[in-house]
Amino acid sequence: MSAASETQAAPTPARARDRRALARQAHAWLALLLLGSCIASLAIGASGASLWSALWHMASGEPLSQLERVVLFDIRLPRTLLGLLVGAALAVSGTVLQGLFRNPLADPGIVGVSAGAGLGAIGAIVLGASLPAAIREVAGMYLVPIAAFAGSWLSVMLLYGVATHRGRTSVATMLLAGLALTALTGALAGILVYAADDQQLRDLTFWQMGSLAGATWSKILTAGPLILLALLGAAFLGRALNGLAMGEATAMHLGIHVQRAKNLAVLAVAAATGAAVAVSGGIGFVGIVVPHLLRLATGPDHGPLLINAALLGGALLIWADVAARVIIAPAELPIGIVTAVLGAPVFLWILLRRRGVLDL
Amino acid sequence: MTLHASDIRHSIGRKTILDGIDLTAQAGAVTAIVGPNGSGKTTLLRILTGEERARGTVTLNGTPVSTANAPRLAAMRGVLPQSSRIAFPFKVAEVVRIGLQSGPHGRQDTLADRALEAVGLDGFADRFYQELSGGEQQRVQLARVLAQVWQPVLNRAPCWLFLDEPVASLDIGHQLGIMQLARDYAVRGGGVIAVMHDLNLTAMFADLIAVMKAGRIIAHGPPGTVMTDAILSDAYGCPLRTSTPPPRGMRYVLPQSAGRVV
Repeated sequence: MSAASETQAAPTPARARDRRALARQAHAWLALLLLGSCIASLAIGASGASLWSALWHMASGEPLSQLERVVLFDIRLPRTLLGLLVGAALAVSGTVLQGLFRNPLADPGIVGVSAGAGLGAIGAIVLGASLPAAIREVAGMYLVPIAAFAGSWLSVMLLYGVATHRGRTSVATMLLAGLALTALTGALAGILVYAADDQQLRDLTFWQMGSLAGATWSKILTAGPLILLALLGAAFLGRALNGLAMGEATAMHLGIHVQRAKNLAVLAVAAATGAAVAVSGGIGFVGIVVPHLLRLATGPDHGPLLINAALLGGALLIWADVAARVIIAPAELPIGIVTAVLGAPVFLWILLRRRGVLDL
Repeated sequence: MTLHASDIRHSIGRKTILDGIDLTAQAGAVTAIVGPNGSGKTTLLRILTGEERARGTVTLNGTPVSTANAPRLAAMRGVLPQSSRIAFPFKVAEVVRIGLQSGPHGRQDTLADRALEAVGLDGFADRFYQELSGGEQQRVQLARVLAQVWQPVLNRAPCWLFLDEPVASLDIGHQLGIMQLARDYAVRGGGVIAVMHDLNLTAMFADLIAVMKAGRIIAHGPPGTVMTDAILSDAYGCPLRTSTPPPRGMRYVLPQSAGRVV
């Protein structure tokens, strides 16, 4: 407090426990983990094809066997890439949504954003056939992801409008609004299912089974660009979300374009969740587990957090998919079961620990 | 260089909150805004900082506040809100660095430590913000604001601190310390606008006082001319007696000398 303190500027011992360095080191470790996960996902599977013998064949210039080519390049590789994309999309969506709503319980699956995306996707499958041919022609295979994007965008906007008042979010209102939103979209989806014809029902059934089992290169091509755009947009939100953690007014005083940041956050969540849901159905809890673990390990600074969330989210979903493949091999568990088993306890644990300070 | 507000009018629904406020504050001085609950102090501060829109004009260092973009304003003024909750488990040093990185000294990490020292929180850098007491949190927020506009004068233009009840939840030692800090900032050329509750601290540290009542400024001037029995009794709607103790010639309010009604 005195003038003398002006001259001292002694480095505090706190510097040794600076979490920024830790968060930056985590980029490298998580990237390695993700790479290892991709290799494991390519190597592990129900069929007898071996990644290593295929690599040996490629290295020695021999042609790959038919089985190796199909299993590795048409099944496991797209599946791994789709897992990476969807995992990163869901984890980053969760991180951004939590920053936007200022609480750690906002997950696209829990607050109804995935349900909104699902309604969009179902709508596109069922009603798409009755669209004018010109529109179908233009939208092509992007029709379902775009409709899912629109559905999740509307959900986030609605949710934000209901749960946030004058820059403050009520956690209880957010969770209840999510509940209502999920019920409403579920009902509307039910009506659409009744209206669907047999071929559409088949499409719907396959889509709703979710999982990464149906991964194809065309799915990667439809969802990939939207997800990559969303991840890129989210990467610019670090400072804004840190500011928003102190409330909208303070964020504005810190020099953040609050409205612009909120719009970008909503669009990024909608695009990432919409695209992920369009290609993989509803996979829950990735968006809550990943950011929570990372905040515990390296702190809540959204700059590095968003990057780490993408890396860990990709790795986590790839491992969840590997587990789904091997637990009851040669059959497969839906991946949503695996992520729910991992994630639901984490959600309950956060609730338990933060009961007192939940309402911000 | 000044803060200049003219003919500020604001109402919520039919209720008039501010009814034609004119206020000019100079850099190099501490300007205090006082008045009873609901007189419009905090609303006025929000309008002065650009947080809320109202009719009338506000300029800061010649820049119109309502149209200036947020980064431009952030480079020349820091704002301490009345209470600040933080959503995630940030550590004290991380909170202060968020302020630091929003201002013109973003890369000078040591300033975060010096800002914490300045508010008497050295050694708190590694503590979790949520685990601190209300008064300590308030001082962390002040350190964050200080780190944002650390130099009272930058490129020959003054920087400003807008403080909404900066000492409301502090003990008397820290009240004096923080008010002295604000005073030093002004003495070194910066501008300080503070909404205050404690009239005696206001008299002790403010150069100019604006007294508000029902959305208007009913008196504006140095403590000696504003802190009179008549003005304060009128503003607060109760009998108040002021006095001037001999050694330093500062005004003080002693409600006791007006006596109890019953």
